Amino acid sequence: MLLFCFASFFVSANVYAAAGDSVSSTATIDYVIAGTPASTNATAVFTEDRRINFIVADANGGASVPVISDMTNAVLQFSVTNLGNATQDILLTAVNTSVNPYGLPADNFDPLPGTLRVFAESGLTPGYQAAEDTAVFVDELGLNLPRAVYVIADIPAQVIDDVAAIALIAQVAEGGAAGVEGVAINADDNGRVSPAGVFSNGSTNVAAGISNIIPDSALAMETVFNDPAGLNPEDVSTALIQDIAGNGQHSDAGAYQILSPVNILKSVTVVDTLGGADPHPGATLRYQLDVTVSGNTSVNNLVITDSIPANTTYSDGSISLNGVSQTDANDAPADYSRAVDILSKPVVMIEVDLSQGGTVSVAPGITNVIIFEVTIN
Amino acid sequence: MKTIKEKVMNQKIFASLLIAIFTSFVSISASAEEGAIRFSNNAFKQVITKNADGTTQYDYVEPGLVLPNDVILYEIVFENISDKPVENIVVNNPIANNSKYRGNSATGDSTEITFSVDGKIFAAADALTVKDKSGKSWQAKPEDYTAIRWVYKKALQPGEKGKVTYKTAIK
Repeated sequence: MLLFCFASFFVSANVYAAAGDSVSSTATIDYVIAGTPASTNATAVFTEDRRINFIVADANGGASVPVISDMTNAVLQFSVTNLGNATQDILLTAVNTSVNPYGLPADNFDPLPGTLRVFAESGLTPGYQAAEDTAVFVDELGLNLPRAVYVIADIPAQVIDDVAAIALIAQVAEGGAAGVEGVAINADDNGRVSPAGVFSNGSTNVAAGISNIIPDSALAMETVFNDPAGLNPEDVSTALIQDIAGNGQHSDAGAYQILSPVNILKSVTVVDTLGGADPHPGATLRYQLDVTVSGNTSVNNLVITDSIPANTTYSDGSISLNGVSQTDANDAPADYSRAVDILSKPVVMIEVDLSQGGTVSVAPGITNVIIFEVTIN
Repeated sequence: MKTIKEKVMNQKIFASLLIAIFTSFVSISASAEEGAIRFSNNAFKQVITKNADGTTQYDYVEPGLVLPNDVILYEIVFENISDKPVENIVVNNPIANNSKYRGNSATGDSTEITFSVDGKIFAAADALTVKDKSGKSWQAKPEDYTAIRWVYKKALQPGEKGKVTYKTAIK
């Protein structure tokens, strides 16, 4: 939604690729002289010149993207929108940057060296698809329709809340040939130049532009860099280089942030002895733990434990996992759940080993539901 | 005040016109001298400058660098180069490609100005309608216009000149 508003804000009246068009206006005069009708006409012609204007925008909902330690192929999403008047190719590069665009926590790590890559959305299936989204540049970007671009990186072993900020830099290139990476446009005809850079996953080295001023001509098409300045620092140098306006490049930054991959949603239901919901002594409290793995990596050795609350007593035989009743005994492999101290009592906690003794990885997106009951003393 | 400004503007147009004629006569403008009327049509780009004293200056220059949303002034001049009066003068001008008409910009002394959204029916600006997809009629907006027509209400005497102008914005 933020992205949508942003794009709309910049959309002007230009809705089609018009650069290089000959704009021709013919006036005709009809008149009568000495009773005889006559007619003549005159034409004014000039060429519409090329405005290069495009924006890169972080498209992760205005927040850092949660990732987990040791995750491979972690995805940051950006969009690139052409606000000029000609179809262009856009070359892409992702770089480690040193400022978290969302403030704190501060940037403190980089993805594994050599794993930072960029791919453009193919248009086949929304969202990053490794098999489909293989183009390393944006091909034939028309006007005013944002194209998704994905930054992919492997995350090293990190601890919770560590942040890696990444800038996506886009460089304008010639369009006009579908499927072919256009030559970078590193200077306009108005004395403005692009800085040097390595683009398209390292295979394209764009030389710094050389200032070039071509006199404006009514009939030749001139090119004018009209892109805005970037909003975030775009590299790790102490100079904190930031994209400037009118250089044929634009950039924005996003960030990965390490979070726990396991989410537990705990809820409680009161079942009193009269069938109501009043938590008086003797009433039963039914606890439910919804355990979900986020990210895109399975979790190994996932064991869930929960303490029995003070002033309550565990209800023997009340553990269930995904609707299947579990034994209280430590009797794997009959099941992998137990009530700790069931023999000596009181029971102090319940334990459910979702890894089934370390043999099973818990995949993302699946919810395991654990239920147990206690009574109020 | 208004008169002075317009005078300044007209001088600038005239100066620009001379530049255009001497530098790019063939390329950007055309004039015809067949018969009794010398007819010319020239395009100028509007350049707006805010002066230090707070006034706004409008210059009209050769359309060398033209980008989306730039405003173009068209100046169409007709001159009677015969020795007889010319009558029933009508100037027609379809709006150029990549261009949209700027509301209230058409001028012409002693002319009746009408517009069209289809190139066939011409009417005053407030009498033109367009239909949307559902068939409902709406008053046409300036950007809907596809042509302008000036009907010159007098006879043009030998040696006399007439001029009409309008503006467009580049899409």
